[in-house]
Amino acid sequence: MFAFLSIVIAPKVQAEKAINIPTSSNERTTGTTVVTQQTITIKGIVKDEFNEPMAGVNVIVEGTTIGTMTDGNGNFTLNIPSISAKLKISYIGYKEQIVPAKANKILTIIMSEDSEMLEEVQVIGYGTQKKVTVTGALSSVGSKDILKSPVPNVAQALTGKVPGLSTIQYSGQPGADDPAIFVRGIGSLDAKRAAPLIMVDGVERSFFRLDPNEIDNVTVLKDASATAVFGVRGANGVILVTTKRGEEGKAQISVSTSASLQKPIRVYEYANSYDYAVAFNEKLTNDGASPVFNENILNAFKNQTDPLLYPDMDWMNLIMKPTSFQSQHNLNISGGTDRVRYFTSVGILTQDGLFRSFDAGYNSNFTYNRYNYRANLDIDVTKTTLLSVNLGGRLEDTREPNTKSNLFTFLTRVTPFGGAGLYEGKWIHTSPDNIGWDKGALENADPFECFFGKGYNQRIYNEINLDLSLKQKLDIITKGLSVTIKGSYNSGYTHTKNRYKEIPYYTAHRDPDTNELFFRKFREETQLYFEESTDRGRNWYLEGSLNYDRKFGNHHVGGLILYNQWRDQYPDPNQFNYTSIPRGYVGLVGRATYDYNNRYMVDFNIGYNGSENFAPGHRYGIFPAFSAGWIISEEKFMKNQSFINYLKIRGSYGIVGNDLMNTKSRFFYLPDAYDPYGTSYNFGVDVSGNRDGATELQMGNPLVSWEKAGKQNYGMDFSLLNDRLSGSFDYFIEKRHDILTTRNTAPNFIAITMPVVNIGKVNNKGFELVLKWNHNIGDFKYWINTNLSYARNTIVYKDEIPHKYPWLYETGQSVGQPFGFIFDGFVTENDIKSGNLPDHKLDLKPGDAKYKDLNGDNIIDDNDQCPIGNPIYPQLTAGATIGFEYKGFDFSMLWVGTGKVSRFISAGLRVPFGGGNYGLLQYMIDDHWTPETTETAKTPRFSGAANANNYTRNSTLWLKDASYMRLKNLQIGYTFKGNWMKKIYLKNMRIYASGENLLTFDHLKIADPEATDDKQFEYPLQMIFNIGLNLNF
Amino acid sequence: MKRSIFKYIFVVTGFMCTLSSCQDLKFGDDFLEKAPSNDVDIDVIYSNAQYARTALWSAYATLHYGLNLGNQGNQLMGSDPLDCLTDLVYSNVWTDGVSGAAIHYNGTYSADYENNGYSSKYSYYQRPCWSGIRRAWLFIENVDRVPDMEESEKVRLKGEAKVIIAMHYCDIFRHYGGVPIIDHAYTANEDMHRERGTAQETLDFIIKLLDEAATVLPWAMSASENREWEGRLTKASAMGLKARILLFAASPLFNSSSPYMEGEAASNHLVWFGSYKSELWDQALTAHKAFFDELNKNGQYDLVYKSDPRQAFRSGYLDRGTGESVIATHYGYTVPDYWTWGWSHYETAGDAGTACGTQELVDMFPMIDGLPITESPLYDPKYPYNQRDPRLYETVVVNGDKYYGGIAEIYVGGKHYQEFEGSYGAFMSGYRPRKFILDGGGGPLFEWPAEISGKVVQWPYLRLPELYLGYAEALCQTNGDMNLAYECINKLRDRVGIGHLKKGLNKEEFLEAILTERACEFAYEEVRWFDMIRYKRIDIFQKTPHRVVITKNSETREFSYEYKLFKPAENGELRQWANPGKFSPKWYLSAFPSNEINKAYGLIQNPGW
Repeated sequence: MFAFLSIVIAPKVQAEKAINIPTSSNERTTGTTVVTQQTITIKGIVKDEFNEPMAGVNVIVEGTTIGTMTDGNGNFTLNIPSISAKLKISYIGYKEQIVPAKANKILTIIMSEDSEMLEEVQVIGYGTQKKVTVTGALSSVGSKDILKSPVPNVAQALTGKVPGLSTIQYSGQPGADDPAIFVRGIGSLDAKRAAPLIMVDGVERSFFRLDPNEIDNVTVLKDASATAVFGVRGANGVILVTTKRGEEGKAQISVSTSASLQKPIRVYEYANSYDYAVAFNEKLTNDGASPVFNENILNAFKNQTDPLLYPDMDWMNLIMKPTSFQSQHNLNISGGTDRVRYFTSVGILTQDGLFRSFDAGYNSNFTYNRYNYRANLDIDVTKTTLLSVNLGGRLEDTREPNTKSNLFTFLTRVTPFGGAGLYEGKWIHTSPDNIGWDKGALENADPFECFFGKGYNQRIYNEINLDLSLKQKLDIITKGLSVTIKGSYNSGYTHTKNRYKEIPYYTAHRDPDTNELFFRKFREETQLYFEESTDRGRNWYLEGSLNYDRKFGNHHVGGLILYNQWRDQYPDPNQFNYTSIPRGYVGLVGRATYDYNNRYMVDFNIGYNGSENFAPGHRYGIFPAFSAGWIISEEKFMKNQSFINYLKIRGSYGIVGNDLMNTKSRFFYLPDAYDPYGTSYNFGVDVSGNRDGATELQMGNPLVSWEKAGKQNYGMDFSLLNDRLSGSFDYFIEKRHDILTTRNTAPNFIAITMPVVNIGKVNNKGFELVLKWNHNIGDFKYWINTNLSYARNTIVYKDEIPHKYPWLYETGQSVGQPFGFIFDGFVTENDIKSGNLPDHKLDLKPGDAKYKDLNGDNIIDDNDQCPIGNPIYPQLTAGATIGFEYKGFDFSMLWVGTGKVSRFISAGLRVPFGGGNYGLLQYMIDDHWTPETTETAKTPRFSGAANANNYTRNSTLWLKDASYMRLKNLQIGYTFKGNWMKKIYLKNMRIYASGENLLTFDHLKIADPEATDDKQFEYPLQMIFNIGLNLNF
Repeated sequence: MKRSIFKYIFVVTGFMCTLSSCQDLKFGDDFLEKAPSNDVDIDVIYSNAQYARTALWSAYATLHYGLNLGNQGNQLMGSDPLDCLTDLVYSNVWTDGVSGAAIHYNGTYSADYENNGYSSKYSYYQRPCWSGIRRAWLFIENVDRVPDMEESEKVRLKGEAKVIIAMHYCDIFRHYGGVPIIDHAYTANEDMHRERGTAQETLDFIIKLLDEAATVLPWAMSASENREWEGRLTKASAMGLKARILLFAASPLFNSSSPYMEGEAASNHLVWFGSYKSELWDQALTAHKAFFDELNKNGQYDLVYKSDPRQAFRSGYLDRGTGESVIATHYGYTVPDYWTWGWSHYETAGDAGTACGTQELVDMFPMIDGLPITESPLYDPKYPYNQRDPRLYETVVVNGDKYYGGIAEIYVGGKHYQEFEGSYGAFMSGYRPRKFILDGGGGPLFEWPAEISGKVVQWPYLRLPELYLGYAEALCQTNGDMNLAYECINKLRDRVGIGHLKKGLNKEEFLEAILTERACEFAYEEVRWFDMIRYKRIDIFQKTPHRVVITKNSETREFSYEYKLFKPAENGELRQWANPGKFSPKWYLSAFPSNEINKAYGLIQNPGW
């Protein structure tokens, strides 16, 4: 609709052009030069390549501040001090020209378009825009920067490179290493609802597992003007990924290959058998029980006289290899004729895991192999018809050991004497007969119990993405109009094979009389069983659009109207209910852009979207956004200085929406739904089957509708000092309201699963700063690019149950704000004597943790917890790239960091013996309180009875500053160029060495600073050492 | 140019045709409509009798089942039975404070604990009581529109729904006192301000529901109906429950000249009746009499009699459809043959030791002549387990009794001996529970409840003997016919073949004898706790129970018995109530979750919490 509007308006604008153009420029120019008497008057006309006069072109006497602008007819008149002066003629988007001034002659200057600058287009929602005229807040990262990181997952390559985008990586497991991504932090009530929309080539799908060589550009849309077109889904920001396309010309062949070694950044350091046993005895003694490890066992642990019966295993060292191998290979060919352009690519990634298989007759290590392929074709069916076909896909082959339970959680629970590993091909498990230790506990104290001889799982995943689009220029209707139809189909298929078996284990014993070693065998070896399952996913997308783009002299108008619908045939059961019902969206998008002379820009974007979650009548939401920009540096008054080369200010305001909740709910409006098999009950004296019981589900709310985010963005782009220093600054305020949530304050007795309502409110504020320094000294080119992003949110309303004390409220705090007790030191003898300690619900002993009694009731309970530290999601993220190039050499390094973030040391890493008889980290021994270490102790005494007070309670004792700084990437390369290459048709060749996650500086020390406070442990994050070769033919 | 237009139209038309060949292709609003599916809403449920009944069955599924269940919403008391809070049973709880017993033993239970905890004795947020009440009201309000159900069935099912509501109210009344009276199914937009009903209002509400139900329900189900539907509620259920709740209400906890503890809830008469009302005892008596009049008229309910008194007693509480349970609730069908999540009682009580019998429990069982061990000439401290009430042997496993195809050896060095201090185990008090668990299995370390495996079981929510004893108690309290009262008690003693209760007890002695009889009959059946609170028995609360250590003289092969206090491990410091100044009457009733109070809809916290 808006496109049509703009079409109607456009001719009028053209007609008024003559009036609109400032006519006073001549007078003003005269005014500035009146001070000099000896002046020469220069006249001229500036035209473009099509011989059209150009208005508003800057004409400056080089080296001075004297200048003017062309009028509406492209004419200028300038009084200059001397005939020897040179004129600098510049216009944004055109190549700058310097011409000698000539008196008494009308200069005719033909400006040619600066293709580099003007063609620098910016990917935006459903289209592209000239970079200079962009008014929204968005950031891009190109192919070159992405390819610098030798990481298996593209999302990891974005860390630190895009202002406003933060990534948190929890796991390094091959094939399961997707990071969490947030754009401008978290704007909703929880992190689950803050995931940005990700689109590849305009269709919602993940880019994490694409071959980085296929990607041309990743753009992050941040403010409302950029995301309004995605209305329904735009509230959390949008990430647009564009794949590469072919260009007309000879075939370009690019081959790249690289090989890497991966190494865990950090592994947990466990206590040895002797230290463990001593510590365990200490715990028992503290608890008034008798020690279980007697002197003989302790000595056997210490001296390792009989390691099969009394082992001391460094499991991490035994099970994990120091490094694992990874390789990436890609071949891509692109080119085109005048009718057909193509880009084709084939890529292979192989990634090995860190685990030893111990010759079990099959490979059960973690491995991930990925085969990516893509063919993007553009065909000019006629001169005005463009058919684009994208065929992309990948095959993933993921393998992992079949385990008894989560392997990494299991590894935190084993003890160094739980088993003796392999001895003469036998798996030796420690016998309770040798060590006075609980039988059940010993079973889970041997990590081999979790995986050894248990088989493996293999998952083959096959995904195909097909896009077809047809663009027809409709210049015969009106110039600049075109229509596009696009359809997309995505299909995924998973085939999981599970192979499992049991193998015997042995316990080692010594004959009490002869001291001879003998073994007892347990379990029998079984065959390798086989089980398989399949899963599928399918979604499709349809889009139809009308595009308008036309220039009327200095007026440039653009318009877009677009309809789309998307359907997911098999909604992910982990995310949504009603898995048998496809999920869908429809949307209508409008955009109108106008810019005058590439200097004043106004954009209007609108999304009109429907969601299946709302009842008819509340189903649709209108999401408009306005934005405007002004390139100040193009104004005449800015031409009198040479300090600022470019300065643009821009602002936007808009409303975007969200229709999802963190629960699995869909169709929020459906009334009083029942699950006919919700529960069951067994009646009768002897009836084996239960009777079904129909149960009520969540109440429906026919009035519920969109969650809305009002977003403001104020930004500025600049370039100073002959473009050496450039950058941008964005400040944003986001007010999210009508957040979809349920009421928490309804009385329990009504027993209704409360309906979804629009009540939550969250504010989010922050800024992004980008500063880039680029400079050449002869052949030496160097650069420093830095970015800093800050986002802080506040929960304004969340229908919280009223609390007794103000410090208990989450309202007013940030999302993810940790709450806990304030650690008040260790209990001392004096404390106990004085009797002034608040009641900790425990008979306190010296070395126990004491906490501050916030409400002064002399009891330490839940009311004494308050917000401590910073939120668990980083509020501050920063990245800095430093690099240089010199005669074929290139060097770059990327540092990333986060700040204003806190994290609890997770329970599994802080409770000694896991609260029972699990693993013990070395630091727990080093740091814990004993009567001897009263002064230096950092953690409380060992005591099972006091664990709930000392170790389990979240307190400032366990909350750590989780900010970190990482040398994320380092790369050194050399590019060969020479005549000898031509013989083998080689254009150039580059060899390089690079590394990822090389150095980490943080306060957390025990765990990786990115890892979350979670009871589930994950595969360690990796550092990568890589060498590679690129060939271009 | 023209050619390209035609081409364009051709291609687009082709494209659209291809798309529209997909049958479900819709655009705009139609696209968003929910696709047809098998969804069911309230209208579908009440459109046919088959579905409508299932709505009531879902209300049955919320009924209280006393053995702890691992995976249901009603995972009450963590892993422990309610009786472990009494003097009869001791739970060898883990010391970290998560277990149900621990949170009460160590005194850390609080209103805040109820917010997230699942191990307290009522677990307000975990019990599905309010959803059971809602399901029952929804059924009552909607069943009339079912087209294909006989009117008589509608009336009967509505009666059953009312008893379900009353059962939940009875449970909550005994743990909390008066609570909000919910007399319909709420909608999401209703005014939700509702204060607690007074103790009297709550009691009246329960009685009204039960009276209404009793007029429409059949006294009992026929044998054939029972086979298929045992567990459904009857007129006997309604009348029996009414007698139970009136006896509780008439007891001194609520029926006294002063509240058990001062506080806002007390001043508003939420946790007592405001004064002593002797008519409450009369009502309790009338309700019991009415029940037994009806029983005498209709029969169909009776105690289980067998030639082996032990088997008779066992069958009475365990087996379905015997007619001894006036109300029985079910969970599943048979006990799985191995421990399965959801039947955790059999593991935790049978093996981990969350339900060890105490010496106090054992000492309550009389001798076979009917006299207490302190009075009977038959009692020989050298052979304390000889010639005892057979109910003792069916309640706990004692040394020398049959056990898993052999003999229980619970003496130091014996096969089943477990040291009290140190690890955990079902034998560590000297008495392993047998009630509900029967004989063990497996080896000395892991005794899976082998004998119970595969058995069809029930929870004896309300057993006929409780009504006999309630009748006796009400007769005594109202100075009624004491011969009848003795008869009631002796009815239970006759069943297990022991001597009658000694005649000529004064009122106080008789009441004490009834409480003891109830303990012998109902240990592990959630009766003792309510007896302790309704008679405000601080003396029992403050008692540290005993365990036995049996040693065998290797020469004479005689046993000697040493009775030790459950002096817990140093740091556990369990059973705080026994420590001076640690017990407060606030423990009689549970605390509402502090979050629920803070919602400010008028809920007043119970005294002391």
